[in-house]
Amino acid sequence: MGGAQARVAGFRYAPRQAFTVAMWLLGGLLVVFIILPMVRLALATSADSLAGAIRNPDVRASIQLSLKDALAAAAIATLCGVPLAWVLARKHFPGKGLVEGIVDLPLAVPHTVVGIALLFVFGRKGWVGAPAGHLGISFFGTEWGIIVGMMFVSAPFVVDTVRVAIEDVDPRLEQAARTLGASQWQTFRHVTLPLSTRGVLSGFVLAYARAISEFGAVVILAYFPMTAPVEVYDLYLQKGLDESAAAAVLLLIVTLATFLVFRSLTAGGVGRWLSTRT
Amino acid sequence: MTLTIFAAGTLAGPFNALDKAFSAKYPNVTIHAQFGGSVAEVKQVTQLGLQADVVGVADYTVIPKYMFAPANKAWATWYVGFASNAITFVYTPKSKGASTITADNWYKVLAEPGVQIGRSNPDTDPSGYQTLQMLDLAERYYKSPGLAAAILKNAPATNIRDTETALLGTLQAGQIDYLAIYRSDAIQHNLKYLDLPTAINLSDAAQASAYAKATVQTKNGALSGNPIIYAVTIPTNAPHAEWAQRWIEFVLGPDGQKELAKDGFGDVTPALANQQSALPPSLQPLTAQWPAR
Repeated sequence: MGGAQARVAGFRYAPRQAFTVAMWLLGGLLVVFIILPMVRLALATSADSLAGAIRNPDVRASIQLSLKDALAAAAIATLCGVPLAWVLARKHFPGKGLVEGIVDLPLAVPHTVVGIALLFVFGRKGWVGAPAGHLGISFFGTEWGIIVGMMFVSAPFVVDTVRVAIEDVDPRLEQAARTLGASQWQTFRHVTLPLSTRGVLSGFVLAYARAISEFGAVVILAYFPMTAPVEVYDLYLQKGLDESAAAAVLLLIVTLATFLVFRSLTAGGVGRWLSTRT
Repeated sequence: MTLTIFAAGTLAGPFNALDKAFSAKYPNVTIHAQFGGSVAEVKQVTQLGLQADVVGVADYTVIPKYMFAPANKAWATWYVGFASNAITFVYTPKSKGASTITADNWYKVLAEPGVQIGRSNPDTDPSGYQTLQMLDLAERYYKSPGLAAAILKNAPATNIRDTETALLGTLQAGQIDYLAIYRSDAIQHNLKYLDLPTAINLSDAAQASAYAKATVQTKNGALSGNPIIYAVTIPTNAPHAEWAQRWIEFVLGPDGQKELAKDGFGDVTPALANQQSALPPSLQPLTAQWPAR
């Protein structure tokens, strides 16, 4: 019996290592798969061509525009996405499955189709576009159009991420707050939101990243002014691979830098505001 | 055997039909055709290193410009012009001015305030600069100074895309009223279009020297007008050059010409070779030397 137990223990020990190794190997493969094209892109870019991209006023303007409009799109998506996530996490209502499906629809629709569909609604004769036109707002070839295209494709990332985070908050904590006399808003503000801060922040950053990278939907609504992905494609057609790769690397560097800025910002002010419980 | 074709977006209609007919004739051949902007398709070969058996472009000058280099290892050494096209404007019954516009008064209707005109990017797309050249020719043809500027005022940057076909949906959605595009697209999409005079619509190889007087500024420098002649070549690194030759023979032959005419392209027979002696021998008898300008 003792021998058998030892054998079992030994048997268990070896696979445990094998298991960890397998997890590392398969996971590492994915990391390599993601990083390899990025490294190759960076290697294809000389310091000279990167400097050329930095000097190119069109490239600078396009990156600035992308960062700004992605920030706006992610902010609006978060403003409406967090309440929707809360509704989906906490409420039961008929047709909930349908709403869940609708939220994820942007992930499945080809983005060029998204662009055309948005144009039908936000174009100068569209349901939203026509009345907005009377107020002097056009969504065609403007930043409004860019933001609308970015929001459509990035909204699901906020809703899905925040929803999971809110579902992880123990409802009994919220009930305790209510029985102690807190209003629904106070409960949300001081219990639910602080406990799902990480989800909200990562939802925001995911939406922001997705918004920056969007090409297909945005290019139908707005080719000019050019966002960074459109400018990269335009450079590829006009000049060639070197110039467009350099602009793409510059965009990656700037985007990474803004991620880091968000991190430190959220660790400070915003994060503290979200996570204060008193 | 898979024959790979990279071609201009406007060629998608006739080439897809011809590919089917060709595969029916030679059942061992599967054709993979990919369509996009002419320059983008050429760059797939010269910059991305993808191998194609046939490259077809909407502007024959694209082939010598991008593929006749580097000198010792050029991507292509010849091209054959096989069809022509014309620049026109398409519109729908809902377009502003649609009820009154004709091929004679079009430049006045298009300059009216509030009209929205779409066009493709003159810095990257042939039809973009060809539209500008056509307007320049029209200005002199109609003896109407300021015509081009007045029309372009209704075609601001907001209405520009990398290729004009990207704006077809935009036209149908009513966002724009008129779209500068090729006649073949107008016919294949069953859209109303203007039958503009050959003196301005860039469709006639014989009027090349007159077209050359139209010069427009782009980010790539000044570009003077050329007749819109579609050209094909076989890249020097084509994996199946022999089958590519047979395919081009098929396009230049009666089946090909019939299909091209049906899709709204102009006739170029015999096909025009930039340099007949550089062509594969089997293609030489099907072509004539390109007229000197």
